[in-house]
Amino acid sequence: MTERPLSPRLSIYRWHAQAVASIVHRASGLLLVVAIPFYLCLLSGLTGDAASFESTMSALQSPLSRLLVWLIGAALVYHFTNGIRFLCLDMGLGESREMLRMSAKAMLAIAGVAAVVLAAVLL
Amino acid sequence: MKEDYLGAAGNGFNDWLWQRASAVILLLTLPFPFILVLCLLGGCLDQAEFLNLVVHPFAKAAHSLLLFAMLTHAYLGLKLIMEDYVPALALRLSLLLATLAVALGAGAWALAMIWSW
Repeated sequence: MTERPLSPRLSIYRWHAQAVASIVHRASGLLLVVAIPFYLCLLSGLTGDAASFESTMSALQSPLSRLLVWLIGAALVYHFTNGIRFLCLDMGLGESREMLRMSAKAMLAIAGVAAVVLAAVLL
Repeated sequence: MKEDYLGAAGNGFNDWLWQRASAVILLLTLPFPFILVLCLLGGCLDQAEFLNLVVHPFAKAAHSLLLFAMLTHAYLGLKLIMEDYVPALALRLSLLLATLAVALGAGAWALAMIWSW
């Protein structure tokens, strides 16, 4: 490989709300990939016989599962709402600099509130 | 003739479009399992009621669509991340093929499960 510096040059760029919203979208998406096998295992266990339903439900109540459900839930709320924001941007809605900044902060705030609410319910 | 299998703006557009199309499907379908899991955790749904909901033919069809969109969206998202952060071509292509194989396998397994109910 060559010695060229790779973009993005994080040491040079100033962090701003839009960039944070974008990288958190990517990070939450990566976390949600882990949620797929979790979802499939859950689905398989919950639709099995009565014993398998009970054991899946009790496994779901364990502290580790609750933490995982909280992480997945918070990531899902963020990825979902910011995904709607990205779809709006693709349609040309809210492309002004002020709107971009404000909507990025709004999505992060919504996910923050959702994370607190989910923590109160689950943890 | 446009050689779009080579171009950055050619076949990349397919990925872009599928990522959006699957996003819209997920936007419409994903709230249902999310709410169902919360209901199960909250204890307001027992197994018989839960099974009644998921075995309905419409639910099975919507569930199949959801899983297709979920795996497509995840594969394309991982592809994007690999293209950005894994510069070594051989490693990137190997990871990409492994991801595709896992996604296809998971999809086949999940569809077989849903339609066996």
